[in-house]
Amino acid sequence: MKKSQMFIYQVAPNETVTIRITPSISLGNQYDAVLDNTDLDRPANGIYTFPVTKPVGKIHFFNIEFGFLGAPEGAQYGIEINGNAPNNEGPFTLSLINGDPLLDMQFKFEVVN
Amino acid sequence: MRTRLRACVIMVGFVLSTFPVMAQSQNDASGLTEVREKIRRLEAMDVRKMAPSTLEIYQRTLLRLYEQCLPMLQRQIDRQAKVNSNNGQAREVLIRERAQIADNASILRMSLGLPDDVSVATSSTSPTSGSGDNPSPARAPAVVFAHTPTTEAAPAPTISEATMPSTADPPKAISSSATATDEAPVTPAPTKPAAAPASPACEYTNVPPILKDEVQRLSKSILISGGNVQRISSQDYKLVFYTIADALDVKVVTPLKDKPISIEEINPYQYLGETLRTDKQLGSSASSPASVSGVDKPGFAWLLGFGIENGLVEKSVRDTVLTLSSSPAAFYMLDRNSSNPYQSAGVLNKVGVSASFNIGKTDQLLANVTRSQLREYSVKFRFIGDRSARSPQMQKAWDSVKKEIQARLRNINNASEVISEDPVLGPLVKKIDTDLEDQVSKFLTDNNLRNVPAATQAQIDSVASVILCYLAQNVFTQKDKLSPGTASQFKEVLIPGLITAQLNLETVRASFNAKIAEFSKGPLGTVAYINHREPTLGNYSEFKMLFEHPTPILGPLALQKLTANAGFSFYHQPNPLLKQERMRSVNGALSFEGSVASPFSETLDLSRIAYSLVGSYQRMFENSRVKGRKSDLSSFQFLMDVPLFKGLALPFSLTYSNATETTRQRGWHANFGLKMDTDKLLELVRAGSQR
Repeated sequence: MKKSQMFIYQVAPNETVTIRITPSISLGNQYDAVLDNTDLDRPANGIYTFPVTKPVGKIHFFNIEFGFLGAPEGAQYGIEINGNAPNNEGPFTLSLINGDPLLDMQFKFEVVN
Repeated sequence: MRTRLRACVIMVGFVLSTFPVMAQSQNDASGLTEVREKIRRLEAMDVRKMAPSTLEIYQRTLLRLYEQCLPMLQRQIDRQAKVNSNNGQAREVLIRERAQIADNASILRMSLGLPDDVSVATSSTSPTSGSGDNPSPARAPAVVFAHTPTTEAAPAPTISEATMPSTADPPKAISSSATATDEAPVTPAPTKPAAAPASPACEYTNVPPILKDEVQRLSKSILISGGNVQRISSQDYKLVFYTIADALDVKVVTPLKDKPISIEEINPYQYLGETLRTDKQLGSSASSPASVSGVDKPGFAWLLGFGIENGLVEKSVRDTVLTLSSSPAAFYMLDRNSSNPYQSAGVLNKVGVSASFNIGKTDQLLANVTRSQLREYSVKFRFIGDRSARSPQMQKAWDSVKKEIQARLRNINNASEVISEDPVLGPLVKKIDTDLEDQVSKFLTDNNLRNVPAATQAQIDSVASVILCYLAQNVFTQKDKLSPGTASQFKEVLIPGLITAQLNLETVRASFNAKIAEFSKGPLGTVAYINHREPTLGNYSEFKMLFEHPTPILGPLALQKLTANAGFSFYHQPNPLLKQERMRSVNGALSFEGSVASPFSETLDLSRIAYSLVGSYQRMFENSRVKGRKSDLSSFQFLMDVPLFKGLALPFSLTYSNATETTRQRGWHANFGLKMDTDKLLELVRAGSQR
């Protein structure tokens, strides 16, 4: 996996992508995600895992929405994105902090050789 | 019911008070100020707690004020154009304000199911009143985004240079300054004064509320993240999707509405809300001599609470006390592999402990944390209620809307897939990730907007105008270049899917909000044991029941929360010389609490100023046997808790008591303190370090 931009990554065919969501101490698990056209169950350990199944040139879209209901100021979700290809440059991390008006994020995984 | 009544009274008051404003229409400047103030006050109200009927009254009142404000603003704009041609910037600000209010009014009308009365918003708009504020004749509502930087000293941004030139005729929703001049050669727009920071490069008129809201959220996110323009790449496909959906102007028949509906009529997507907590006890117990508060709260700190208080309430000695509080569940924070330490801690989350120490050395606070300085310690057990974001009930509420949230995300992904494979739109999205980011980045730099801790609406609007301008010129214009297959996908699948998903979310949101309201209205109950260390009067223990229930009690005073304490205390070793017996006292306290927005809150610190009225009573049995003392002690207190910054708060109280525990002296006392909530502080520090 290589990072092109904050929300755009290049992945290899058959690579396994993991996205780990870590709520901070004051948060529950208020997030839900979709991969392409498929609803994903929220994993108990907070780690979404999926294999790259699309051919080269296509994109996997991972869309996730977070909630901060009842959370205090500064509460945040940590997001860690990683792959497992031989040339993997991950993990890559970012966070979403309570108070940010954008609570959904779409990650793009472009399949490249 | 009382909330509704109170809100109605306020609303009626607003309506009645607008009549004098109408009578003063001769004096627009003062009338405008007054209307603006009324709008500001109404907009500051917390609509989340309003019942639907109250909300409608609220919306109608606000709409009425908007409609009063618009012609006043227009007259001011016209007056400025006539009186002084050099005050372009002030005029631009007014124009922007008018556009914003017209927008808000339009959204309110839509929400209320009223026809979008364009004449109200633009009735007095002069066609020649300026180059940047002419409403587009092709689109109905005067939703105009004028691209105007906010910094007077900043150089004029060269948006027209940075913006990709449009390769097609301007669509009906767009008017660029050049095009406007070409189309109206007889009445050319007046030349911009030299001092004006910029002229609008383009306008995206009649922006659908759903798109405008997305762009404004994105703009704010960029601003408060210190100018992180890469946030654009998290929304790029969505922006293209919404813009193309607007350009195609498709009406969708849906069983959820009685008439065909277009994307322009869809309300902006609202994420879940935010609730705040002021129910944690961070200071010493109410019976501590220095306690600022006369009532104990049932909540407690999870990691570490820290409070210093000074004053006197029940004793005649002024003390300074340091209180440290925590929960054994905090140890679960040490497990870094746990995805949710709070849930892992289980029943320990219900236990809170605290210890208070007399402060002798004020320069070394923690040096006072010794056994000899220990004033009291307490253990609390919460037996009912959990209002934290981590509670199972909150999780259940969130899970109840999971399906609808995922439907919306899935719809955006479906659109993204179509867009990514379209020969026109696919490369366009990639271009957005570079060109638009560059433009916004340049705009932020040119206008000193890279470090704005709390973005103003004007700053958000200015960034939004850059994004909308780009979308108008580069994306909206592509609608005729779409392949028939892509256009068909948009019209028959994606746009109907978007509209259905949005409407479904609106439908479930009502029940979701009801669940959240029910959740936050639930009672909180704690039983507390407090061990008091009294070197002169003797050690004693106290058992208390602490109960909190959010409920409107004294409507007009906006007191929304009731806290009640009741307990008894007993001596460990009664001292006959002091006329003590085993039972020391019984006590009770009642507090009514409200809150208002704090002017000190930072961008991420959403704390509110909490105020409360506290009445307390204590029966000291031994005092009835001691001359010169009063056995029935009562006090009345006004308490304020002012959040300062990043988890720090300043509690202050003023108390009248009829006597103290050791004298019959009645009078007023002032107590103050400093509280630090490390749960909150840790979150904020981590939040800051992530930026």
